[in-house]
Amino acid sequence: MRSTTGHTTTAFLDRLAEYDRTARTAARGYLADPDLSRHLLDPAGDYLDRNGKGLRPALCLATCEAFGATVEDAVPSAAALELLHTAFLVHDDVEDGSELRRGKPTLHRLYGPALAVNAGDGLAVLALGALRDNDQRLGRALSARVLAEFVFMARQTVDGQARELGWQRDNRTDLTPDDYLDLIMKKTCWYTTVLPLRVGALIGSGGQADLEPMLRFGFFLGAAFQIRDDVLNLVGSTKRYGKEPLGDLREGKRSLILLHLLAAASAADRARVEAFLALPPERRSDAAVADLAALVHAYGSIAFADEFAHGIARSAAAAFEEAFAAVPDSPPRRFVADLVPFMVDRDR
Amino acid sequence: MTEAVRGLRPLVSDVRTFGLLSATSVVDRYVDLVERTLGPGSAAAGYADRPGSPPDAPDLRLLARSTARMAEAYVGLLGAVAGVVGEAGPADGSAPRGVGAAFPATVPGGRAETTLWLHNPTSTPVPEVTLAATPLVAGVGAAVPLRLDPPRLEVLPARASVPVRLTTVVPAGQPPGTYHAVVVASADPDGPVTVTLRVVPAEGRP
Repeated sequence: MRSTTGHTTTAFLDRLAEYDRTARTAARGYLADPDLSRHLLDPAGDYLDRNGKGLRPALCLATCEAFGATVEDAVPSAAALELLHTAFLVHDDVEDGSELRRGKPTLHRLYGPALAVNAGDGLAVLALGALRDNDQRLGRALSARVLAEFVFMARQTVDGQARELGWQRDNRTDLTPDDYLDLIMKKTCWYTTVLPLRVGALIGSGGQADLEPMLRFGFFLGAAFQIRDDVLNLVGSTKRYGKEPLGDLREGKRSLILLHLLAAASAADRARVEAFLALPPERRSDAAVADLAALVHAYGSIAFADEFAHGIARSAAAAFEEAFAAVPDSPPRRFVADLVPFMVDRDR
Repeated sequence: MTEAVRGLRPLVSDVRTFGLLSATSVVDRYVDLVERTLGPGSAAAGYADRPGSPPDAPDLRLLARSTARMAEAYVGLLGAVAGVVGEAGPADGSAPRGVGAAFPATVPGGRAETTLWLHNPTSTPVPEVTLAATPLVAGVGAAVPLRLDPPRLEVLPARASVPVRLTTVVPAGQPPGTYHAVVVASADPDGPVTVTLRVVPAEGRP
């Protein structure tokens, strides 16, 4: 029996859970080394045991299957993706001073920043080991192409993160939606959607797939996903969303919402926003954050971001058809198609 | 029309279209970078070098492919825009391109709302923006009033988008059919927005 909740069916959720379990088990396997200290293994394994969505490895595994190979062929890559994603989360939480991750205290709050940062380094190193295992399964030529995709993705991601932190440090208030989209292409889309799709198609087709349509589909999907994440940070419930509410505003993140507010606010209100952003993060009081949130609502900045994201989501649905045009209908192909509304309309 | 916005893209725009266009322009910038770094011919991706091409020569094959892709994306984009706003307008640039909005289908006696966005992509605020709208009219001559909220803005700030609520109340007994109206902003009189309303029979009635 299939039951329906909005866009999501239980069949879809079951498949997502299965892909997640497969990738997470494989990722966990790379931590199963008795020679490694528990001061590395405990914090490194912490986030992996939390209830994440598993979207990235699921996208990679499903795309690989849809293009004709087996899930097992893409498992080392999916595990590497999960390990790298977790490493990015650990470091991101330290950089942002975040309090919550997936509904629980962040790693640096549990273990201290030193062990947390080291665990993040360890997870990234273990991902390299997972990618090395592709040699045996895929052959050296295809394995080298997968590695090149990961190297390019990692460069984009750390560059995107540096840009965002730099914007905050330099207190930039002159940014446009194009600047924001360029940032999230680097910071989010590459490792969330573009790489999983491209690597899945690469492995699934034995290196024959045209990967350019995957770049387009991946970007549209990832951008709509990230803007939804920005909106949820303002309107989502902490219980479901799993992060502290209004965290992005407190950090002064240059989200599309904040950029719209800076552009739309009256001169007096813009001055208030700029004064808030000029404060060191530790001096931004709860009341000041609440004031900023009220302005965001008053100027329609959330509605703007939602509409903007829906325009991109439409492109994602169209780009999916182009990217998967040569792929026959199958459950994994339908799973990827269903990921579009799932990622764009989610509430967590 | 103020000097600040003369010659720039239409001020009145739809945010969804704006999102679509912005995202497309960003992804287009990356296509070439990714081709160079990871596509055929890139040493990093483990491909063999193609014979006969000096290292700095332009790759005509890739260039041709990229040009074809841009044309294809443009055609696809026009189609997508038409899907979003309902009316793409003339594509040859000979006349101002129209953009449009649509109310959800409404029964006689019902009320419908939709949103238009005033968008100022320039770095200069636009003062005193007034909006005017015709009634919604059908081919048979029937008309339905259209209300704008707000009908006037003291200023449309630089790089800002402001929503304008469009509301209509369809009188009971209004003939079913497709109704059209035009909304014009004083700051961009050459970029009218068409608005469409489909009045459908109430359930159980012919």
